[in-house]
Amino acid sequence: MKLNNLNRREFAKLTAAAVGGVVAGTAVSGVVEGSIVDESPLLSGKNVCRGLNPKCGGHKGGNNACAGQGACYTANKHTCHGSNDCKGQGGCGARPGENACKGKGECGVPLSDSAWKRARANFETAMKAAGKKFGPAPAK
Amino acid sequence: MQENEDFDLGKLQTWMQTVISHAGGIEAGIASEEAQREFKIAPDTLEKIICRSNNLTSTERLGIYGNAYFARLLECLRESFPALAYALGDELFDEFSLEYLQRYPSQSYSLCELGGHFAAHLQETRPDAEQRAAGQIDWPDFLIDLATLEWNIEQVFDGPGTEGKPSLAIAQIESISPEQWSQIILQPGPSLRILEFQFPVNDYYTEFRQEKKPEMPAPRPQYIALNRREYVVRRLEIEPLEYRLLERILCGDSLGDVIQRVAAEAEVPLEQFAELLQQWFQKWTTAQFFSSISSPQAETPID
Repeated sequence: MKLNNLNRREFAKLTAAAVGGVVAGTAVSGVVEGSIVDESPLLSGKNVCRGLNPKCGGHKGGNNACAGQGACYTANKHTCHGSNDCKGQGGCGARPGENACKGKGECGVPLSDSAWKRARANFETAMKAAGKKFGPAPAK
Repeated sequence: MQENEDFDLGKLQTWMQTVISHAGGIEAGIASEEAQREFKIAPDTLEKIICRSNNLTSTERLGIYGNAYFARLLECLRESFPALAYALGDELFDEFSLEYLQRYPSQSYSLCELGGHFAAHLQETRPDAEQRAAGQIDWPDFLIDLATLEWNIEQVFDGPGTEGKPSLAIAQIESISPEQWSQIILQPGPSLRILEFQFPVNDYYTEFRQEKKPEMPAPRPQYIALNRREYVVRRLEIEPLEYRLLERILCGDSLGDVIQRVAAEAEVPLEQFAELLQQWFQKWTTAQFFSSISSPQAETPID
């Protein structure tokens, strides 16, 4: 039964219950059953300073003054010097990020629905492995 | 660059940025209208601007910077969506990311905004749009839900919060007479967000963070409230009715309006609904979902 057309007494009862909850809640601080607390994914990352993050200087490993510079993100990880091969630099061919694009000069970024197709293939493999049923792939 | 009377460092910098950050690659970047505006040059005459080295052509040299540019953006997206990257696998995640970067090139000076359209991109490119429009839930929804959750977690972490400010105090409520309770407006804390999912992605994310190597779950609706306290993001699964109540509170409805609207949807006896309201409002206040209360007498929140 839905609570339509509450009378004045019923409405007051519900309002009082809500306010009573708020009052009770102010007396207890913080811990709520079922609440999941994570270390921030940004704090666990290697590269926490990403451009103009206002809290940039407060992050783990981020006691720098790089807010506004935007250049300190992964400053030393992917720097292609001279004639090295840029394997892992991403962007080329069927295996972006894992290709050896030495000598190719440009990484034309593939644009198609290939990612979804491959995602579908992975999904089907996972479902089969788990013995679960799944519907047919969309026609596109 | 070869010596030239017309040498202009600013133009060269603008041109190079345009070329190396072009989503279509270096050659497309050189041919782009923006780059041509700075230097009318074709890829085969690039050496007029970028000298070749002993081992690499001008295009290859420039390509290194183009690769590095996208590699950094990919790395940034991987950090924003770690569970999605796990669900897809790194290789496939990168492929989606590169498509995303073509569709939504980085526009901001801050990389913090890079992934802002990722979930929308997945929604826009999903291969089963017709089925989805017909209300069917399928595996692409799982990826979209997961991207939505991860982006919101990051936004709650990065966004405004109540740290250093006083939390809602009992004195604020005691100053309001019972006759006016229905008119009070609970002001949500700035970090509070509520999310509705087709898949239990909150559970999936938890297991991922606990390194339990989760598998894609079966679909079931899941409702989540996110907020931040002491710079730590908290995730709380809530009931559908809690979601509806919080949705109205976030819209700025008065307490009376919130209760009246949601009571009409509640298929529970009055007594039970009253108990639930007491329980939920207590839980939300404890979790610091609210920062203050506005009463009918005061136009500004009572602090």
